[in-house]
Amino acid sequence: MSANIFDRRRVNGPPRSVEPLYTDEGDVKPFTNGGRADGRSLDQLRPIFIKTGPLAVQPTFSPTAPSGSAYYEQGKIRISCAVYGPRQGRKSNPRMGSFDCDFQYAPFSCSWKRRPHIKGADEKEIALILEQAMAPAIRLEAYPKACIDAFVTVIESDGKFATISAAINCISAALADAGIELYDIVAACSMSLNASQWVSDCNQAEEDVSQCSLFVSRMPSADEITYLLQQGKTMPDQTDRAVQTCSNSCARVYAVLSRYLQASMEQPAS
Amino acid sequence: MSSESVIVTPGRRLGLTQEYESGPGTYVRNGMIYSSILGTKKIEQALAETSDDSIKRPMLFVERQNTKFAIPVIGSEILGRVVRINPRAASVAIMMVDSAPCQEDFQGIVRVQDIRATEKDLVQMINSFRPGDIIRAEVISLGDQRSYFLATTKNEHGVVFAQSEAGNSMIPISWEEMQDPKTQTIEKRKCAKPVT
Amino acid sequence: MDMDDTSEQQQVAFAMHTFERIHHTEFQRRFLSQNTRHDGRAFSQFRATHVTKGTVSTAQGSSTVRIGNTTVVCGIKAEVSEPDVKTPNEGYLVTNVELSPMCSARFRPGAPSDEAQVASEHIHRLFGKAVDLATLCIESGQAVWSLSADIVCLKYDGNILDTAILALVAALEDLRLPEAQLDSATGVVSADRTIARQLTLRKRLFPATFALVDTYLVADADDAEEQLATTSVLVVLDDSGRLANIWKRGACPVSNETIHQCIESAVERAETISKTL
Repeated sequence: MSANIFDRRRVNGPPRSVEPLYTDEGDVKPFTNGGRADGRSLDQLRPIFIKTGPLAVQPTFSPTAPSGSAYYEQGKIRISCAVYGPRQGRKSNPRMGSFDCDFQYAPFSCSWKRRPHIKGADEKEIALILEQAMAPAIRLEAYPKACIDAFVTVIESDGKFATISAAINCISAALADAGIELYDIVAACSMSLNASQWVSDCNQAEEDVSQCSLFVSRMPSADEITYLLQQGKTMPDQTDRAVQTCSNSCARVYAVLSRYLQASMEQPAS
Repeated sequence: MSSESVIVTPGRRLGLTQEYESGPGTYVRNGMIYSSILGTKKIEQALAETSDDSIKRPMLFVERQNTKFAIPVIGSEILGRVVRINPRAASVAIMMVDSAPCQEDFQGIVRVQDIRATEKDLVQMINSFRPGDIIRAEVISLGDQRSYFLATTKNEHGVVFAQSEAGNSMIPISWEEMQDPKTQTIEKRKCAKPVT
Repeated sequence: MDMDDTSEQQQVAFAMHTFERIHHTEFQRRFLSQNTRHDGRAFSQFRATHVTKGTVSTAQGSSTVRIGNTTVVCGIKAEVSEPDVKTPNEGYLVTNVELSPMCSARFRPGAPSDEAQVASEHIHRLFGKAVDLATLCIESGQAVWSLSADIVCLKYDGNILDTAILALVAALEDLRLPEAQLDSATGVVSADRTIARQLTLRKRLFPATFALVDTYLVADADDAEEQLATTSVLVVLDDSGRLANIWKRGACPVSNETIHQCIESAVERAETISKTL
């Protein structure tokens, strides 16, 4: 039995609770004979859906509403992002603005145990990753003394690296929707190594059985990589190949992002 | 509108610096102009008359319809509310910059020597601003860690809206006085010249 | 000409934005005194409401509810725990509302704000009787289901209570509890998701929130109106048309007539939403 943290500011459940042992898992293997369980090919990405901006028409200006927002879906991954700013920052640098990112999983977003409300170390780590992946793309010198805040909430997660890549894409869409000056939209994609083959955009089941996972986030116009993270062991040339293939996948994601953003502008203005 | 209204995402190549000037919503890298915001690509034709010999190039810019949130820059005109006063400075919550709203109120201060252009040493804060007044001011400096520095030295800068001690809206009757129309009392403020 | 019209429109739009930003209260009052609201609704009109069930596959029960711009996702995770000694046959239903800085600039990062704590506590007590906790029992005195319902607000534009209550009702209806068995030798509870049963709600709840701005009673206040409201009244009806909860909060007293008006509007609202749910 695992202990639940008692939080006097929230409604608390029983002091200990645990997930039951699910007996219906079966022998469904994510990879069978070179094919994937969901029928995708090895380099096929899950379908992406993006919705930016307020869901209902905003009749008048609201000072507490976000400057930009985006809702992102990739397969079963669902992420929502809100961007606030430029607003008065605490760090106040007269030459450049600052960019801060906050990341959290919703308590019901992961397929395993419910997450506690208090932020864990992994959420803080991912927030830092997102900051470092997005900051090179923002023209911070256009916003001296101001700060731009991005808040990301994962509603449903499906593959840790895939979720991080999806979060980066979501923040890009929200920043573009907010009208923040960017050098380029950042597109990210993840891959996993399974039986010496690199497979694109793996879900949780596939990532669990893979030896190594990595993700790449890229700015295509400058052909620059803003973040690269690998977890697991490989030979150097395997990683080389992966970064190459992943960059190509990022280009495809970038095309989808651009299409959705252009379509959002074509809609009648609220 | 024009047949050329193309929607561009950030990072798209728009043109060469040899052929165009880069305007708002764009940035330059390696002789190429790129878009920096999501909006419509527009080209503004060059003015016919130029004072210098160089050929004026048409300006390439990206425009966005929806209200963009503004941040104070040096020289911009702001509208704000006076939050606190002390004999040396007035704290102002900056709400609008050049007719564009701010996402959240920025902090600014008007120091007593920046309230008026003439007779700076005779200025008294209590006769210039009171908490709750709406003022129009200019940003003169990015200021210190917390606040922007503002000035109301120009004639058209100063108090645009104020409530009297009785709670009624006052009307400016001169550059240094405002009157409550209901109680006829006069209060001293540094008023902004009304824009006709 | 087209150009002049749009630039003039822009000038008028700027003037309106300026007025709204500087004199927020006066701006709203101008609309209310003309018998309308700043988004064009009538005083008794609710915003467009959308309810979708089963939106999160990692949760045993979930829903997404949208009232105007206020969007909320409710996910219910089912875990197993020991029951309370005093109630050996009852499981747990724990409700929490999350109002993070993401949904509105009004909320600061860190511990839950007062508003979130109040909303969580009220909804938790409201649903205490909605579910028959005895149906959550796996093995009396040893193992029960503990349902954690987390209501995460994605966008906040006023009226979080209505949205949260509807989301929880929808999520509870969507909930599929797997058949569970306790192995008394090992103390391990095993469950089979292929045999899942639905939870029977004792009663479905239909909420309606009203706000009193000056002397005007408006239904479903959005964020701008909420800031001006001195008092708000929450009326919750169940599907048999009976009153499950009335909560009047705020510093201003209200007349009996106002309460009656609220209840009548709430009955109409309940009819409308029961078709959506």
